[in-house]
Amino acid sequence: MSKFANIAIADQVDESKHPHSFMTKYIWSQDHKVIAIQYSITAIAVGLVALVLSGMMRLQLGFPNEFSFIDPSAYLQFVTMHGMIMVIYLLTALLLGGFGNYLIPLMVGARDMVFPFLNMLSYWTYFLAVLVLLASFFVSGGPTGAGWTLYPPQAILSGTPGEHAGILLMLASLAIFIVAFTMGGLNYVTTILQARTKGMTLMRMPLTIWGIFVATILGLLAFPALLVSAIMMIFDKVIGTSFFMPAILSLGETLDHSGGSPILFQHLFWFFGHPEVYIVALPAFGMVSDVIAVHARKNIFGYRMMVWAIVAIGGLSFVVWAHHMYVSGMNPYFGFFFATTTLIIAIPTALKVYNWLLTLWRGNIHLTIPMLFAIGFIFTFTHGGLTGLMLGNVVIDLPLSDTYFVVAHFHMVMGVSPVMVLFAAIYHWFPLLTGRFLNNALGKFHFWGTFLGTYAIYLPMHYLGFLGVPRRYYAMGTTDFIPESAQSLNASITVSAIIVGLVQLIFIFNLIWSTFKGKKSGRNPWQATSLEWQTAHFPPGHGNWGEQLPNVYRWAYDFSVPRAKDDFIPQNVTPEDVAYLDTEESNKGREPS
Amino acid sequence: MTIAIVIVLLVIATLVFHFISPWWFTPLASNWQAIDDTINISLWVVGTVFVAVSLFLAFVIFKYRHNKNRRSDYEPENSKLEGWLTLITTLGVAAMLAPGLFVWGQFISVPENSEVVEAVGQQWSWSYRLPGKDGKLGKTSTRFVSEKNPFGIDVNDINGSDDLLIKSNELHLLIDQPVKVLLRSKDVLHNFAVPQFRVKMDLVPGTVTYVWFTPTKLGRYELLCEELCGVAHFTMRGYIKIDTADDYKTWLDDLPTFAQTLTSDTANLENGKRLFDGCVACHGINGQGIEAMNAPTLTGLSRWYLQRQLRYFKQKIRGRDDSDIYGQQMATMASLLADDKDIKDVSAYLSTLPELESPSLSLEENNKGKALYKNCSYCHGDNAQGNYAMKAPRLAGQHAWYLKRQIYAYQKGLRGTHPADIYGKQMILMSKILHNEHDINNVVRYINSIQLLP
Amino acid sequence: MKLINTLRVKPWLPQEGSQQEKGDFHQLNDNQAAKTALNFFLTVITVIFFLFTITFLQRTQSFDFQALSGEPWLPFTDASMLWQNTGYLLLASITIIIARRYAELQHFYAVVFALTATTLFTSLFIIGQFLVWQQLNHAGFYINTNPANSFYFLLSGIHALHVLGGVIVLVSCIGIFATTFSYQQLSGRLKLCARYWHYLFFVWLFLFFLLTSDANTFKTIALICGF
Repeated sequence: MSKFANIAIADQVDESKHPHSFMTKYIWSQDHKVIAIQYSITAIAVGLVALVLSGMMRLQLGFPNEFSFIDPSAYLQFVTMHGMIMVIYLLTALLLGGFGNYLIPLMVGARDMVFPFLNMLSYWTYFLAVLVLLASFFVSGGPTGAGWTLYPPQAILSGTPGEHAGILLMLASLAIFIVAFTMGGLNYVTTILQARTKGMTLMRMPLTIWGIFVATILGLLAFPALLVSAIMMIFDKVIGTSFFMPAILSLGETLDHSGGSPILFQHLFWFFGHPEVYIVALPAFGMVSDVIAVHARKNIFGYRMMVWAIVAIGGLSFVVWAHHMYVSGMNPYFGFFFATTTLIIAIPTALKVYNWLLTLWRGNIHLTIPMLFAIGFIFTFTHGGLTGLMLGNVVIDLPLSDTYFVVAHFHMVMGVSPVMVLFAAIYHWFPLLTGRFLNNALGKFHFWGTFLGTYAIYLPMHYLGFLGVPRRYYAMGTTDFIPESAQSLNASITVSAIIVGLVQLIFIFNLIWSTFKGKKSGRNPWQATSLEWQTAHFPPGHGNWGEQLPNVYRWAYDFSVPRAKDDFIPQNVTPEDVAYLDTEESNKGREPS
Repeated sequence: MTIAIVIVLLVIATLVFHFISPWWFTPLASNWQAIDDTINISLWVVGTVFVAVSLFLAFVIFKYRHNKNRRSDYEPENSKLEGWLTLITTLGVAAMLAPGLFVWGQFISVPENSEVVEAVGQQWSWSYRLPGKDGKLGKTSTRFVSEKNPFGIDVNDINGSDDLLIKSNELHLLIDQPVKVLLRSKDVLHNFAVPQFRVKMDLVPGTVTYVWFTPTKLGRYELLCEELCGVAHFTMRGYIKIDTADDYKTWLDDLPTFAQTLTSDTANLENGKRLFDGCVACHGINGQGIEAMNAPTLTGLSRWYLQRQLRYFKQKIRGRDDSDIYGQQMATMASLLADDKDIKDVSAYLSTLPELESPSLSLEENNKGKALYKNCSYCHGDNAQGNYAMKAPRLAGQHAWYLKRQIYAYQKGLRGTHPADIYGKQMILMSKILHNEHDINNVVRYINSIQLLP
Repeated sequence: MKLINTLRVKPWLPQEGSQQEKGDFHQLNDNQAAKTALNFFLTVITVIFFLFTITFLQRTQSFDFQALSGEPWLPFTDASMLWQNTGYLLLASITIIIARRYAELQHFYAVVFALTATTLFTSLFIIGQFLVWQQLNHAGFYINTNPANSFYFLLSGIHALHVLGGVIVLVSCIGIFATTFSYQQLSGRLKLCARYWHYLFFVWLFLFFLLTSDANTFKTIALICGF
């Protein structure tokens, strides 16, 4: 509770608050830009751990008899930690803690987050959560192997790896993460609602901010469900209560529980888990919209529809959770309701895809690296979204749930797609952070490796699912209905996965190398309109805006305005300052509507 | 430019892959043609959309690629177009949803004439129960579960006494007979899934769930657990065999009722002792096992395990492979036991023999072996003492050479491959986590040292 | 309605874009921002208690649930201790309003007196809650013997943590006041604290009702909610 922490003063930059020592500037910094970078580096670092874990899983699946250090326990631990790290500690933290922190104050024209101290606290709490999570690799029994869904009863019973220390550290880490997220999230929403600069009305905000805004609200409302279930599961494990534990046996021993409901946990988990998908997706939707608009030199098509869709998706995401539970043994009549809501949510999502395409339509598309990744995103997201329509349709889920079809689907839609946007965003905003471009040649290589590589992983994986290969199997052995050839398919997926993993190392190298040696970008290299490129100093300094806050006179998408001299008009340019062409002939665009 | 071409190529590649892929649904063996139809409808819808959107994307990228003499259009929105797109999308979604909901309606309403079967899941095996003559299943509770009563049936419930019990992972079903499978779990979450039948459902401890289908094709289908249930999740397999009416009746007639399994079968220890005289030549006078004769120790083993193995040998479920010479020897010997009564007697007698200290015991630091054995310990016990509930025999005190030979036998498929060896598949899968001789030696050495550990 | 109108604005039209939201964003208002943050925070807490309530109500319908009141031998049939604690919390809620009033009037001693009373009553509430726990334990109502007990300990514990969080913030407010002597700042903060205290008082009333209801009440609630 630090709602009374120091509030950044909006009007003037307080000289005394400029950090001077190394410690206050880079470690205990309260500057949102430094915190954003701290968040990003931590998230990427822990994401690399998860990437290595996925590589090991793939080695086991592709070449089941080769690697003796991967036993069934280790395999399940890799699966669990990979999933949890990627979803929460990488994607959520990077999109909201990293990009949210960096972009919100800059894009809405604030000097900093409203509560800078709370913001710093949020990062360090997140850092603690990561440490607690990673600590589980070093305790006896190792990390939990209950799957990232942590379903009880097995999550806390013998027979599952890490059933003592591992699961408790995982739950504790999640609880700490939620505290960190809540502190950050309160900051984001308050900053967006209260610290916008003059003229920055809600509907003039870039879609990035809309995405982050709605995603943060989703997070604030959804994470409590995970917190509640984590607390109750800790009670079940440590104190022996029976919230989720019915009367059962464990490896032949009768346990002292009775009456609890494992399905209750699943409801709580997915009440968090499904909005979580959109906590990751909505900021990605927002950022990709901005990247597309800037690099196609065209206004985002249907801005209002895009905002409505973000809000609608956010709202609907709270009433679709049980589509993860069609075969969980819940009341089967729920299936009708949740299948319907799930397919309804496809409509605003589809509209977003159309609008991205229509933004490109009659644009002037620069195939820069960010644009390539954005196009890659549209392709993978369409693919993943469409298979989602199948899985959401309750009867189709019957044969396909718990198979590799599901794995392929959610990696396509929630793994590859947001990651594509993350890369687009990193290539796009890197000059803002460092004043330098990321290396273009390496970037191209990175894009092609990632785009083609991930498609080579996940397209065939759908077909393993059609065949009926179950997920979370350490090895298939010989199974009647699975032909030998499925193993070679698995091997080829593994090879692709290893290649994709290695390509990411090139990206990391590019990040580090370009920070110091990259080509100088100059101010506003992409000729973008949104506020973050219009700061007093470039890259933006402490306090962001120099003497005076910018005034906003237009929306963030005044690209290629007819008769305007430049093909972009930044948000803070007054109507009087816009230079117009005189001759009708050089105007290739249409009249403004 | 390149990206536009690549996207077109990816679309083509996807379509080609889709149509030539040999990896597709297994042939349907139940009444759920409707599910396959829904999938096909949906695939056509989403496939068309995927191709259309991707090709449009490629076209736009190509057509509107950067040109410095041209400016982008300025068009903030187009309500009419957006309205139409919303409408078309809504119709497409409705077209997919309607058949889905309709079929789901069928899935959740069980036909009147369906027979009831109960499938019981536990870590990491299956067993089944039929309601018997009265058509009613007896009440159950985990409190009642014991070695005598693995299903946990309430002995006071009159409906339970004639329940037919199948203490095996293979269930037989009658062809063309709708069946409602009640799903019950004794420990954690499991999932009842037979890919050929299409339908699946979780088993949730504390409640009973169900799934229904009508098998339409004779055959033996593999039953998989598809909800993560612990370390050996991948070994939790079962079989559903679809029988003709005659075969089904034969199978049914052999099943014991609950009441029958409760009647204590008093073994004749005298007879057992007499029968054991035939074994001592190889297994030793005290059942201690003799390496020169390739005979393992028999002391300390539980009655149920000995019975199961003797039956396997007698029925050539174990020891039928030509290259398994020791197994074949034992199979020949086991065939000398006249009937099941003999097997029971000799097993009972053997389980009374005093436990002997194994000669190959050695106490040494063996962390690698300990780590490997962790995987075995869930079933065989932390002290390798065996666990009836997990169907896992005692390993402690067994000769190292014998344990090694059995691990190899599982890995090479000399043991456990017979369809009737119900827990064999599990051991085959698990034995393969030992990738080389070094691992096997380590784990066996650890098992041998286990009794001496503090 | 206002929100819908906002969302219908066509931002590419320069006039229309700026018409909305007359509020002057130039002047960021500390208290306004803190109030927004507090409202969101209380929403988060509400969601947490809402979800606990749902799980609790669902659990009340299981066969092994034994409500904590309704029969003479059950501990909360006579809930006088809880009423006493409720009284403390109410007094704390009232004194914090008084403190704020006097902070506006810049009346030092009255502020100190009222804030001391708030802290005291809040502490008494927490201690009282702890004593109830002890009594339950003495009477054999352990946390893991029955889901009703589990939920009682869990929910009252979470609520106590929630109260403690408030106390920490209040103490830090007093600390800041002790160095700055800014009455304006103090009164602004006390306003938010008061909101927080009222909130946790109403949450407590709700929990009190929920946790001490008897089996029949639960049956009725479950029937209404469709469990």
